[in-house]
Amino acid sequence: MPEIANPLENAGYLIAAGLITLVTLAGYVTAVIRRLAETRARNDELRRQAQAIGIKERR
Amino acid sequence: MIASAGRNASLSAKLGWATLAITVVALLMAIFYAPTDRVQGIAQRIYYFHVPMAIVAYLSFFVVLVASVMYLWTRDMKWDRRARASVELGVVFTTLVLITGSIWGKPIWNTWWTWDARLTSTLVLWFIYVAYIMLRSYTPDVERGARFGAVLGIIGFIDVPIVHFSVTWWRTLHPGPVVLQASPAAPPQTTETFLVAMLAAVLFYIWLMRVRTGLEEARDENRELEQELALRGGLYA
Repeated sequence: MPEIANPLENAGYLIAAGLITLVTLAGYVTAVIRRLAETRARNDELRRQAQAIGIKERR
Repeated sequence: MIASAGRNASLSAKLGWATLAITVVALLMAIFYAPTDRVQGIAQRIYYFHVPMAIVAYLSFFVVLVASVMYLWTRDMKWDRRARASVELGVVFTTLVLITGSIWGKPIWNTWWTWDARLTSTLVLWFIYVAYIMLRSYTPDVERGARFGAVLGIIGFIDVPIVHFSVTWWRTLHPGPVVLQASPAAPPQTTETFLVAMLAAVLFYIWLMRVRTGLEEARDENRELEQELALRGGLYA
């Protein structure tokens, strides 16, 4: 194991790992929530179209 | 389905805020409460999110296994939706496990990567479930895709115990279990911080699974509606 000579460099690894984790997870959560909102908006639109041509609600 | 998602939105929101609060507590404990390792220095604190994410990745793939078995047994698409949602979460967590492990390895092992049994089997695990996602996106027939995915979800899980026990089955650079082992016992602050971080990771998985499964439900419903509208000639934009 290399000697832990430079505490600042050592802290840099922790900060890098922490930031990559936080940014990745925050980005992923944002993407999922956005996709969910878009998909539900599309769902509302499709339901309106279905009702307009007389397709009954199945659920 | 959408209506039930709406009813559950309040519970999901509460769970989301609870997860966020516990994650902040875990983060503060990892920075200010847990003791600094004498040998590894401050970089050892990577452990407080690297290990919980690894365990949650195992959990994700276990859920895929159960959902895959249940899908093949019942042919109910709700199980397939759970498998699809959990695979994606498992891949996200495994990716972060590989990255954070590599960053930890640089100051401790003096290398970003080594073909150690734990690292290699984890990389294989990542490839297996990335293959699952690719298989699903390249199989247009939904039921066929669900069947293929279920088979891969069951076979792929074989690698999880290999990853977990690789540190005891082979001589590896990767450390074995540290917390919750009788001797040498970790300091209580380390164990407490790890357990809080573990709780945060599990809650995060449960919350994200709810949201992600809701997305799969909405997508499936849209696909069915689009097919029905196309058949009746009513689909536009």
